[in-house]
Amino acid sequence: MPHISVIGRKSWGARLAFFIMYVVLIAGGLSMIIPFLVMISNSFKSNLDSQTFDLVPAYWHDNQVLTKKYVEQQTNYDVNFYNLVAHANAAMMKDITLATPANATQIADYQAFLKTLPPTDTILVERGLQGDHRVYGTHPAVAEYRSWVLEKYRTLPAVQEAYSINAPDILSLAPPQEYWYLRWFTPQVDRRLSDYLTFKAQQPLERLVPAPIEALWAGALRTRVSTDIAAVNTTLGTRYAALDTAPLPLSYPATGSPKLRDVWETCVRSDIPIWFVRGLPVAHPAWTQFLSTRFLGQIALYRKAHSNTKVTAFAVIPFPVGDALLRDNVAMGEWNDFISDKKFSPIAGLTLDTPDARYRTMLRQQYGTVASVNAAYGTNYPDFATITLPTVSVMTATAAAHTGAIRGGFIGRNYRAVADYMVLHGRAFLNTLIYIVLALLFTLTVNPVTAYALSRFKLKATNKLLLFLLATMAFPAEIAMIPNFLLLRDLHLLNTFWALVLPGVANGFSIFLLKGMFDGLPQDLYEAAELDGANEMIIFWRVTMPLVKPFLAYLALGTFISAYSAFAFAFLLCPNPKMWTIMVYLQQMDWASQPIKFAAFVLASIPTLIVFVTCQRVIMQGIVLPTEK
Amino acid sequence: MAQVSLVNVTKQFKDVTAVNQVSLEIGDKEFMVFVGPSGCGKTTALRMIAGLEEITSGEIFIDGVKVNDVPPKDRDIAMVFQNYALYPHMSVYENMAFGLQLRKVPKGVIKERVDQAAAILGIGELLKRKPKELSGGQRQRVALARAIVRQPKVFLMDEPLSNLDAKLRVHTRAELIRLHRDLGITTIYVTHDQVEAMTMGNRIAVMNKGLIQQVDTPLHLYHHPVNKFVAGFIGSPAMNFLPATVVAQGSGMAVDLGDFLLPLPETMATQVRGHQGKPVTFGIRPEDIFDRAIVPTALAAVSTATTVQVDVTEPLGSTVFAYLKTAKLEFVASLDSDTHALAGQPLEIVFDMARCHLFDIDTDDSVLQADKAVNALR
Repeated sequence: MPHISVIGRKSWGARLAFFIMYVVLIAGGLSMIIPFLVMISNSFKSNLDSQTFDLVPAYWHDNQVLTKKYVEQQTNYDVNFYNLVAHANAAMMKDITLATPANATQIADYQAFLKTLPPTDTILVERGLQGDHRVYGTHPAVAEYRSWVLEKYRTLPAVQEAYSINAPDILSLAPPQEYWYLRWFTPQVDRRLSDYLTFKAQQPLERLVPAPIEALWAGALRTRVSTDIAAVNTTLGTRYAALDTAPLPLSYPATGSPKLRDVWETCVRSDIPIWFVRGLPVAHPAWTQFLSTRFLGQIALYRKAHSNTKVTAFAVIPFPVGDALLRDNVAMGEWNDFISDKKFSPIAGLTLDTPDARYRTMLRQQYGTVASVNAAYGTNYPDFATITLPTVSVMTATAAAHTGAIRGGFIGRNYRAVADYMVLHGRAFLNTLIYIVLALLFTLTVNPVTAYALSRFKLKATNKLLLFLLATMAFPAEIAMIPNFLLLRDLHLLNTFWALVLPGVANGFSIFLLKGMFDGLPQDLYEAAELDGANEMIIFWRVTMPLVKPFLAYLALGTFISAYSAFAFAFLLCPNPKMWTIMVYLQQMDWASQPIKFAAFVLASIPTLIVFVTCQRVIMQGIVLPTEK
Repeated sequence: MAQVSLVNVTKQFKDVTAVNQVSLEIGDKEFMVFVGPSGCGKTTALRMIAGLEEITSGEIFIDGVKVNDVPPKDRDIAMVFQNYALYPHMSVYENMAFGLQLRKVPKGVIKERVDQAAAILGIGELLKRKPKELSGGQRQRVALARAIVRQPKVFLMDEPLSNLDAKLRVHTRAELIRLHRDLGITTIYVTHDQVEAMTMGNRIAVMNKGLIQQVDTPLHLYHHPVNKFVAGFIGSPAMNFLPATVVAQGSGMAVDLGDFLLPLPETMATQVRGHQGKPVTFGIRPEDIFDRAIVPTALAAVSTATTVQVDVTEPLGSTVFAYLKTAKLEFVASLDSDTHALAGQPLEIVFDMARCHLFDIDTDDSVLQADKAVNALR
């Protein structure tokens, strides 16, 4: 009976009631649909913008956000790395202040400069991408690297053998780590690295980031002096505007304060990666002396340590000055020992050779004065010393020039990452399909047959059986999980489809409801069918089953959803990855960032949506029992 | 074609005897009606013939074959249910074809027979519809068509008309009669409606409390009920039953109703002489009581008039039901519409005593020879 009768709906009280009812219903509807829409929207995002709840991702229409996201990708989704590259101090990528875009001349010069850098001085995929974007990352270079390597070696085992690495699948094949900032990091000159450097040399220039060595100065000041700029300036007698932009003296600041000299020496002797520490000609004798002492004055011992090199005297051993590089690890070790220790190396004989410094040198050669640089680039550098690499400015300009392509790449990349992952585990689709088909088959026969038997053949124990079936509803499925596991283990059914299907087949509630429905069918129907010559099987299949079709559809939908979405249970009963279903693999996506997981959820919800849309017609028919009077 | 015989058939439900020692012969092509009040066992009897209920004791033969243990599907019978029991999910065609399909009749033959049955019942254009898209009368026809399409030996019908409205019921009744005449299939028809029983049956079996009270042709049943139950059950309005005593009146006999005395015709007088002085139940149908002013002349000659008080009248057009009163008695008369009977006014009436009935007060059986004589199985 309606609470508001047909007559009287026009009264103001009733109108108010209707209004409130509609508001509540609409609010309820929105509260259900909005989280889903937020999930879809976030599935197109990255860490930078995933904490927002806009239903349309901001970067679709806001180029500012798009540029930030591009910078985020180019700096390896790592705000610390970005801070070094940009000489900034942002807490999160979304908070960064975008650099002024570089103009065409600056970009051209910068790219020409990049070509002069050895591949070891640039960074492509820092540390092989960490955390969220680690192995299956969305950085375009990672996927390209995998296919490049695979093309070179044909098969994954061949790659594993060549590189002596343990990558269980192609997606876990990561680029070698570029620990450019570690003191001790001397790139391992092996097959994997040399391959990687070859690959890196073929990469588009805009993906390469010159190692921001000079930015390490800010870190040294923070740890060795103070985090407060005023305190730093007082202590060191400097006039830095900010810690992050404080320029790193490239050679020993002989005229600086004692503390400054002390910090610089500590920094060079123990912080700056030895790769970028070079000698000045004044230190060459000390180097010769150092090596001579180390090898007891015997050049033969040196030759032995250096794979029988042809060197004849300590004095001609290569000294890393200018562009000369120490190519092997033993030599690098010796160099490290030399520069680390006051006893061996005079501090005034050491210098730093950073990408920034080389860039400045190039500009000085090309333009002569800061004024002509500023004129060409539209910048306002006060002097050459303040010029740093315009990496972020170039990124900003690149983003502005290619908004369409970049946006398209961002829209697709999470889904592509999920698709790659799922394609790799293609067996999961077959497993899921088999599981669902078996579950449907068993559920749609066992439950109706049981209910039919209880309804048609009046057993003395019918009520007790029903009570028992209903009692199973009192316990949540989680309680039965461990006993189920133990039972299936003892039956040796773990890691089989039986383990997935059997525990869920008989459902007390479904049997109870179906029995009620069969009871509710007119007895005449059974009798008419009997007189028509039907046996029990035919009555069951052709007379009663079609009449409970809407409920069967509902049951099938429920079975489908629980089979499709089962992960904890499916994982427990089938620990073997060969038996994993789609959901178990999705659950194993701990490598992925939240937006990638959302993309996975959106993809995973499509089959359910399709099934629901096709089933709803049957379900909405309702359960129409034949009552003809 | 088939005869159906029931021999001492009994059905016991726990402590209730639904059908008690029923013996009956139903002839080939006969239209037999089981009639009685609800709970009299008529439906149970039908269901036992169908095979839907087990027989506690006794035997049932169809076409000379004992079918006690033959499952319903092998008895070659078709049944029309009160609620039609059409399969709701099948179209009319499928409903009709279902039984034939299960009997592995070839497709072409099924189509032919369904079309034929549909033509007979005029539902040819409904074949594609689902039962819920049909009216009550159409469903009724489909149920009938489903029964005849099988061409069974016996038709069983369980109150098939009770869900139809009055007009449709009259129409379908006639149709069923025609159908039976045309197809000539032995039919057993259960109803609680005596009009259906009277109009449709070749013979009627009146049942009460699990027992067959009387089996006879409709008219004989009407005119010669063997006991008070049959007399009261058949006919509408029901027969008046008045307490009376058999007395001698001159050389003849009469019934003393207390307020007045009615002489019995000579043929009856001889039969009731033995009951002289005994109390009996006097039965007379309302239509055998006449207004003296417009009584048929033949009756006027032999009857004595009685004056009674008119309590209420119910004019029905062709007749008037008059509820009449004397000091001790109340009864109904169905008078010709020309009567001058007025409520609250006295009226002179005559009884057609040739048509009266006398029942034993203890056994309720008729004491008249004419009624007893036919109380035998055919």
